[in-house]
Amino acid sequence: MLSFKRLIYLASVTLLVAGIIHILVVLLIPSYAAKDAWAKLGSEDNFWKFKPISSAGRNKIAIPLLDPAFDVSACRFDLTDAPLKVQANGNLAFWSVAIFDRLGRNTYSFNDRTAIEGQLSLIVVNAVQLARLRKDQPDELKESVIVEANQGQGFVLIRALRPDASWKPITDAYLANASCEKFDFEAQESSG
Amino acid sequence: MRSFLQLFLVLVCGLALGAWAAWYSVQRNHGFGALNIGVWTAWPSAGDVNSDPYTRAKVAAEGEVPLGAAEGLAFHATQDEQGAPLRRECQYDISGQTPLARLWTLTAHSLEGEVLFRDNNTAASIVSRNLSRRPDGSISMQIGKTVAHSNWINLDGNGPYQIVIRLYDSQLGRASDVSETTMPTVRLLSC
Repeated sequence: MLSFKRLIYLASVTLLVAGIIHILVVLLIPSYAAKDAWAKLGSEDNFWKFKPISSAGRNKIAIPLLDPAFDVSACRFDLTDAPLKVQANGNLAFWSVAIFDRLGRNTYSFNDRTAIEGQLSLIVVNAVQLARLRKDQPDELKESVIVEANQGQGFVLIRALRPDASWKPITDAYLANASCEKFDFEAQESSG
Repeated sequence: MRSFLQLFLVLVCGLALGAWAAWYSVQRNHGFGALNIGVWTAWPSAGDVNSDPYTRAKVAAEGEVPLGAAEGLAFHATQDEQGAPLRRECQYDISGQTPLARLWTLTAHSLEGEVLFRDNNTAASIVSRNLSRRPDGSISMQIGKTVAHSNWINLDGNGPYQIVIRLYDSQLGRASDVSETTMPTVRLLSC
């Protein structure tokens, strides 16, 4: 028969193993989650272009907890290809932009009041691209928000408020005209 | 042989217990990094690159795209003031002051995070600027299937759900002190 002491010993080892497993699982979930935001967005043709992830309050992609009062578009990018340039023009009741990294962490966000001149113009670069940009900043970027991202892959989300149904054409047009492009240093340098 | 069996048991139990504890702590309403005001709970760090491991695991596991710091903050309520779970077949009164924000929305979601719809195309949701207010600026609205005077959110069906208030362009929970902040109360009217 097991001695009492032995039982206590086995129970403590069990708890220790449980604790280690618990910490490991929690820490590893973000890297191994099969249905994280990136994976869900990947089912749409939204690499280097904006595609709606919700419309008229309905989720097109099963991303939970989206606000039905907003039309939301997403664009995936990979900074190892090129820096990202995001632009949208128009006036909405409210819009906000968020940059997420590959693991779905929100690395940067701003809204129409915190944007320069209230317009959406954004450049996302990695450290090397940032150094290059600082050395010789093109004039057209004077009114852009420049954000450094440490990871190559990520996605940008534009959330456009639709206060009521009559705003639908306006938010749709805003999102349809939003661009999510590779920013070309060479073209800028040769033209300047 | 016996000690080998014991070792095996210890490992299996430890694995099961650890995995269960991980699953449990990453559930929707975990308490890590939570900001509680009345019946409302928000996770300000969810939209933050430096969020705690539990919040990060929850966001990744559910594939959410949380509001960033400059976007806003979402408060979730799954219970009324008495502590009873919110149910779609019941009528609730939601009234009081909302924190300072440029605008906010109130939406009924399933516990899994789907938007609840009425008649297949009207979301159970309201935008703050479309609300009528009391003279002191506070709000009073009702959610449920019974027609109410004004500020009524039409919801039917059965089962538990959650109400989410999203404050947009608000510094609440990140830069500002929340001890003085009030959120509306959620009171059961009838079932």
